[in-house]
Amino acid sequence: MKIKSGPHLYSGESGRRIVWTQVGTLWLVVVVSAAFFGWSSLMVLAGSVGTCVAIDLALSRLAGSRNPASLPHAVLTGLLLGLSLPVMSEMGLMLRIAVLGAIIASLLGKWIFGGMGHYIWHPALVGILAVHFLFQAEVGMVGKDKYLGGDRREKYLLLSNNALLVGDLSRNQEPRFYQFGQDRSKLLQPNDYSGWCVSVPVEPAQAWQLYRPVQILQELGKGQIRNSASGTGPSAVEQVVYLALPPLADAVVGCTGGGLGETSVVAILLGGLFLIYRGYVRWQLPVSFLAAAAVSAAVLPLPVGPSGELVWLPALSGMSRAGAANGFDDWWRLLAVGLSYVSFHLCSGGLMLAAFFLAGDMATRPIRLGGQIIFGVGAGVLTIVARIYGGWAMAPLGAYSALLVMNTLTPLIDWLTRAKSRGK
Amino acid sequence: MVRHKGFPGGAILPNDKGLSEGLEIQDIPVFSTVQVALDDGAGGRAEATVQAGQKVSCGECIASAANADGVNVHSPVSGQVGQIEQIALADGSQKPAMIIDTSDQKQSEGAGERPSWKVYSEGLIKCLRWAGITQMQLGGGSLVAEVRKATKAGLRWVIINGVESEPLITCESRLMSECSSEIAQGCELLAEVFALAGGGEKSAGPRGILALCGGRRQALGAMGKALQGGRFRLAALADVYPQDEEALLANTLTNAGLRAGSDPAEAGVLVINASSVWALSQAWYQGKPLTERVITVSGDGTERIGNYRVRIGTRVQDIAEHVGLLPEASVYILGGPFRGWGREKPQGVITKNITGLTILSKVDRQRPVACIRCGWCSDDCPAELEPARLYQLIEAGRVDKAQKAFLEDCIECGLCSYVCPSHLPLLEKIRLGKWSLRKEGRKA
Ligand code: SF4
Ligand code: SF4
Repeated sequence: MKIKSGPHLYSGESGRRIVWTQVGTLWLVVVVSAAFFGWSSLMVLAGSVGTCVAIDLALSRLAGSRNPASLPHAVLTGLLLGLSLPVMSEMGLMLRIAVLGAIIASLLGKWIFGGMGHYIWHPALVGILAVHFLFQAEVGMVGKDKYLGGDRREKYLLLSNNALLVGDLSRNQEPRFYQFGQDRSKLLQPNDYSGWCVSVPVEPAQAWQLYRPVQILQELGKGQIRNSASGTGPSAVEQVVYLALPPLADAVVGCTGGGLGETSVVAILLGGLFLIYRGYVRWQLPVSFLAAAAVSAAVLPLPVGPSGELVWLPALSGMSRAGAANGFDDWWRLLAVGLSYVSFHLCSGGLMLAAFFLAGDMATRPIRLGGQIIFGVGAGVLTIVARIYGGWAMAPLGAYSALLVMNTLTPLIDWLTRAKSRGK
Repeated sequence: MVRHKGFPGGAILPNDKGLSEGLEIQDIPVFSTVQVALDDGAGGRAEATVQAGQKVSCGECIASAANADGVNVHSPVSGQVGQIEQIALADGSQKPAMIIDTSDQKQSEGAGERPSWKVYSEGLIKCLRWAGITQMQLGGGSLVAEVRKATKAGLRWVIINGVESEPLITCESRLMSECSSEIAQGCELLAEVFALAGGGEKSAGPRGILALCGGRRQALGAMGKALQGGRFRLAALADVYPQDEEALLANTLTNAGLRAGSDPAEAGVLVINASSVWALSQAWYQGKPLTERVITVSGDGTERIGNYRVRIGTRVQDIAEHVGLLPEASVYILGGPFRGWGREKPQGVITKNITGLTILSKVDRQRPVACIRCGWCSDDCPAELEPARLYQLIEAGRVDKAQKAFLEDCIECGLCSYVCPSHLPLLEKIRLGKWSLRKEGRKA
């Protein structure tokens, strides 16, 4: 007589369902990216997802492994990879980069370890970092611009509000883009671009070329805002916050330069909240990640100006004498500069995407809650460190590289948070 | 006010108690044979006192306690004693059982001789041993041993466990709804025996609490009325599985720092199953030994879900025939769907610790795949273990390491297997590990 031990009921959850849900929660992010960056965004996503899926199908057949979560996971990997890439004027190049990234993510990120459940780094992270280093010029906007001449650093495209959804970024025709900030000193002139909603590029341009907010923040750190009027010390922070960065609302809604799915905080947050509601991500992980990033941005000394003068406690930089002299007299408005500075750190550069979607990947984060908090805090601090003290190319990668480091540390954190003794 | 759980982990399971909660207890007739286990795995043994071929009447003692923890066994029916055979208990362990043939016997309520008891704890133990009362839930130990241990450790709390946190099982809520005055009588008896102090939290001396689930309105109402003026208080608890585990329940109510794997009796907390209190009340005041119990028959494989009063020793096969099976019935579980033991055929017998018979049409277990490290098994584990890691260690043959990771604290609640999205048989593997540890322990 065969006797089966309990339980005889099951919750009905499965890895497949978890990963499909994660994919599903990204739909809003995808829609927003298509709205702001045009149809080319969908082409890039299709390229990276298609490649990941094709490799996964082929390799799981080859390896004879039949993990039903593997295919949706390939979709998720492709999506996350695509969403971290910025839109480019040259469609073919963009597609090639996306496909190559997907190949690297699938092969080196996932299958070299044996597929689903065995990898140590999030495959999408491996892909993202690989393409950023391989195509530093194209993706990281480092070096000279082949088409437009001058500095590539101004080449993040964003459809303007009168070209939303219907604009086309995939053709490299100069008049179509409004060359905002060609003269870099113009960055600090408030009248040029005062937010996506209120600015319209001159005819017949359809799009803006913008900095990523995170890179503006990084420039500040590198002391490269040479032309600011009184660009030293805390007042430089203020100048940048008020004059160089787009309005914070733009960064929240997603109409700034950056990776396809990185810019819209609202869309990511909605998806992330759904994952938390379903119990697929514990809220403590993204919250500790974001909180640690906010605190580090607020307190880490920031080198500013050509001399690299350190601004201690950037969160309080609005309270400096220079700020007060500019006519701010009440405390709240003095704090506003510092708070905006911190908020820009939170709302830009893939931090949100990393905190809710990449960090929430189950296989690469610590298994216990305590470990997940350590993991989140570590990732948050490292993100800001990489952004402030890393280079121009590093700035948009801060969150991703921090996460990769923490992925590596996961077994150690697991070991540290394991109960070694217990009182009876 | 509903009290929160006082233990880590746990889960709120889909609530399907509605199925049988409101159904009155029905009697199940006596079938042609019963198999009365002389040892139901709780640590006590009993020696048969009747010979094969002898006629016995219902309630007559057929085996007397043979060791310190043992209790008497009484015939639940009138009939002719047959052979003593080895039968498989719910978990598959082989134990001797007496077969009693009831055909052509008129069933009567024959009460045996009734000893007189004095009201002090040794008297209580005598009563328990005479009437054959054990903890009437799966995994429950010997009640006699627990009473001894708790009094020796200095009794501080007496907790009546009426919490049924497992899905589908409602026998105890039903018993408390219908026999509330008898259970309240039993409570007062315990209060008398252990000199419990009345009057709430602040009074000195040991205290008594009857705990049940906040969701069981009817049972709560009935017990609330019955306990009025007595020394036992009523506590309504959150419906979290496995709240009915002794140590966890004790910690929720007393906050004594107990955890899964610790023995509440050693901390002076005596936890008694509500059915056992009912049985005690029957024995003490009416001289009836324990020969029947209430079980819940439920699940999607049976026609007549309900709460039934059955004789101890009734075969599952007979019950299944009586309540009617649906054609798709394929799994027969002695106990609830979490801690119960499943069989593919209607086999096994009702012993004193079986709370229900769950008949399911299918067990929805999917093919296991690699662990995705979701961490849900550790999140929900009431013993704060890492089932995923234990699974790997035991699979790799490192039971020693698993032991260092507190393998033995597992209370076998089954939540880890329930939640695992990779469908890994975590509890099965952990049981295997515990079993091999016990085997090693015996060798050493
Ligand atoms: S069966 Fe054991 S290991 Fe699994 S959740 Fe329950 S106590 Fe924890
Ligand atoms: S519940 Fe299953 S998949 Fe999740 S960590 Fe535990 S063993 Fe792994």
